[in-house]
Amino acid sequence: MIDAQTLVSGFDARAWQRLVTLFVPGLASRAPEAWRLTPESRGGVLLVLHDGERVLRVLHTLRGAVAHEGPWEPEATLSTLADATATRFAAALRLGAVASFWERLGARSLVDDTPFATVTLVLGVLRELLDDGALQVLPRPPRNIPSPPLDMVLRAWDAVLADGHVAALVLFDGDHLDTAMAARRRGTNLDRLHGPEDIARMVGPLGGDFRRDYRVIRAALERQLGPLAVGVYAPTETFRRLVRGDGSVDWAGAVASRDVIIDPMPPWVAVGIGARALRGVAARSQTLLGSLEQVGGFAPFARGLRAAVERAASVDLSAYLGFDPMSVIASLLRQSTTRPPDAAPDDTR
Amino acid sequence: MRAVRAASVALASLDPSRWSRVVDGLAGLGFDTLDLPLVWRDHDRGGGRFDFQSPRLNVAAFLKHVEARGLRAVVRLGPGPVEGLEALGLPERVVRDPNLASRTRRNNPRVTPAGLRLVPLPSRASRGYRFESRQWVSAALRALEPARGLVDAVLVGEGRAFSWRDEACDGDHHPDAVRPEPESPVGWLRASATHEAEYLEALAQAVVEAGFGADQVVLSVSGPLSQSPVVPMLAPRFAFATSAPGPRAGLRAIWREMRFAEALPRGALVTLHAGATVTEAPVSSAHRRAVAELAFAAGVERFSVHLGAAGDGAIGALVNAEGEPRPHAARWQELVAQQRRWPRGTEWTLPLSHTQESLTARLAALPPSGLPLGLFQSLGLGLDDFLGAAVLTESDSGVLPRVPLVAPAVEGYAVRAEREFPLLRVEPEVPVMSRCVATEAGVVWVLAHDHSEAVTVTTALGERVAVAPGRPVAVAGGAL
Repeated sequence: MIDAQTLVSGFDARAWQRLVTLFVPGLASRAPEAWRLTPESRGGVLLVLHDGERVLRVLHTLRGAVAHEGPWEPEATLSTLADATATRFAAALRLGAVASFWERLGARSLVDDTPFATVTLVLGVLRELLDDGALQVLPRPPRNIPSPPLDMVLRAWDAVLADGHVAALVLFDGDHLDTAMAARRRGTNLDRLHGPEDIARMVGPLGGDFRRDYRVIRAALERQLGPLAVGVYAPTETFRRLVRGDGSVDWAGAVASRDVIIDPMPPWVAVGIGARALRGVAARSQTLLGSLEQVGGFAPFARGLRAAVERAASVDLSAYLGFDPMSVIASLLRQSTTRPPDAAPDDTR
Repeated sequence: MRAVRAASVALASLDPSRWSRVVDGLAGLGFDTLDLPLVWRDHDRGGGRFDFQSPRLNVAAFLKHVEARGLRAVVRLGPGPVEGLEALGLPERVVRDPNLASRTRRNNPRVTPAGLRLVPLPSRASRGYRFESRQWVSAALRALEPARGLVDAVLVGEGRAFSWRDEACDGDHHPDAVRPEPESPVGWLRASATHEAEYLEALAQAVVEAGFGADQVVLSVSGPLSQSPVVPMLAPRFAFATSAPGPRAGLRAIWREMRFAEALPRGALVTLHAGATVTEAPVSSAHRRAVAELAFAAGVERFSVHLGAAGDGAIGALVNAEGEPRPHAARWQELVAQQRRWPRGTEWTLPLSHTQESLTARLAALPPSGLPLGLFQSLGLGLDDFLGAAVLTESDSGVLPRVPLVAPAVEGYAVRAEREFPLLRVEPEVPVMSRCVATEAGVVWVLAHDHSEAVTVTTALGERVAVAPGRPVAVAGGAL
């Protein structure tokens, strides 16, 4: 989590845009004239305002005002309007929902709340509005999954990035650094986010082959910032294809063939990558799962997983969880936009 | 206010040993003024004491570098001078004082996000908050006293581009606030506008009492100027500051807002953006410059580039913490150098008045969604989309300019009937944003559009010009 105390440095506009749009391609920058509102636009977000009986306004972020008059039917209207406007993401607000949202936050928030507490509070209030029917969203969130309590979120955060440790993502375009980020945790938050300018300064001249350079980068980051919990090094395009999961490359294969270097590789990454990577990269899966068991919140999960490993001599997250989390993430990223990133080459070079 | 070509400097984020290089770097990029946002939170020491002597907070020392380089300065005092500040730039003691907080109908604090923290908004109706704010402004201006001659303008008021809590009926229930009787959307809007106007006037008064002229006061409000009921109230007496919408707002919204700002009786200082904070959606430098070019084409001649120089905490500043220009700074330099090529003269416009009453009536007619209008403007959705009614605006009036005027007569603007404009034919017939400027050499059209293909314009002189989408052009339109 970041807050106002987080020190962010070493990013130019291009590097930041390249980094963010890897994960949220829908945020790709476009020129002003490309944002003209037209009735033919696809995608975007639909917003329906109603009073519980009638639809009052329908607005679309890529189409503008959408003409619609009619009754509000809780189970049907939002889906019908979303279909009619070719929109996946939609929200319907009952009059007073936003006021209620702010009122509840004002009543419950404390000036000293941490970012984690704030996010948990906001999600909780949103869940209440969903349950009340004051808010509807598409795609519909699963209704039977409770919001995680704050201490469970913090335990998971400890497992992902322990206090004082650093996570790094370093991406290359050919033989030079394309974009990068090194994040260090202090307390519950990230206290430093360093961009490629800083990392280049810390590391000094590189050889141009990320398969060799990663050792130099890791050593420099550990010297300057603290112990590395996880480091990912790859060509930008390879990494983009991996996170979008377009089928042309998969994590396990990429790690095994060293198209992506993960060093160090913490247990949660190894498990997340899946059984093939677990076998290919680390035959020590039992050890990895053992270390997962040390993390309180994951202990039951890890014990079950260890049993699965022992039974099948492999780990199949899909079989174990009923779904493959990496596929779900990739699916969301694939569907969020079809727009390619549009970072003009004149930004910084 | 004279023409201003400023770049902002995030003073506290820069090592004082680099200040001289920073000033040189920005002067070398063609800026003639440095814009200094001073953050109350950084300087406040409680009990009416302020720190302007610590090395990174010594603004008077920085201004010596500015003077040595022959530049001018503008200062932003807020409270909340720019976006992305911890706790909106307010001292912690102010944030934590429940007596200063704006209240909801149920007496809860009206909170707003500041990064990943929810911060109670201060009440502008609160006598205590007004006193604290004035005290800060006065103290900051006392610290600037040795360099007062360098300062062209003092900006006071809310500097954030938009607020999450700007909806029409989200009234302040602080005990010092006036409650409308009977309660109605129009009543709440008027009460809210009155509180804000009184607050801004109190800050302006503090600036004048510090020895500055009223013509050096620039007022800031969050959200679009064109949707603020305070602007028609105070624009006849004070200049305003506004932030150019991002590219996501689209060409028409950017053009409309810039034209509105430029047509205010005392003018406006427009903030353009070279970079952003980590919590904002990323925007490429090329697209930020496209917004700036549209602003210049729309007639903006007083501007400040936000994140001219900044250290930690900013993304994409023109000059980095070492005082070195980043590669995209050269592109900004070209753009700033070309700003003066856009025509100056008397702007012709079709009649369109913009009064407090007319705006309040439109805002009160909105369904009380509770959603911030500023957010919708940043997405290119205007008031008219909410109203769901056909209201004539510049974007749907064809090709001729229709600039909202907050006063019957604004210097530099001439209201004309449609038949008085020189001929301008557009093929295909699509909405085109335009200026019609009467210069000494004749009429000049400035045109921009967002149609998917180039459009061809034919002037009274018979000249045919192809105008590409997103590329504003100036075209001679004939003799007067």
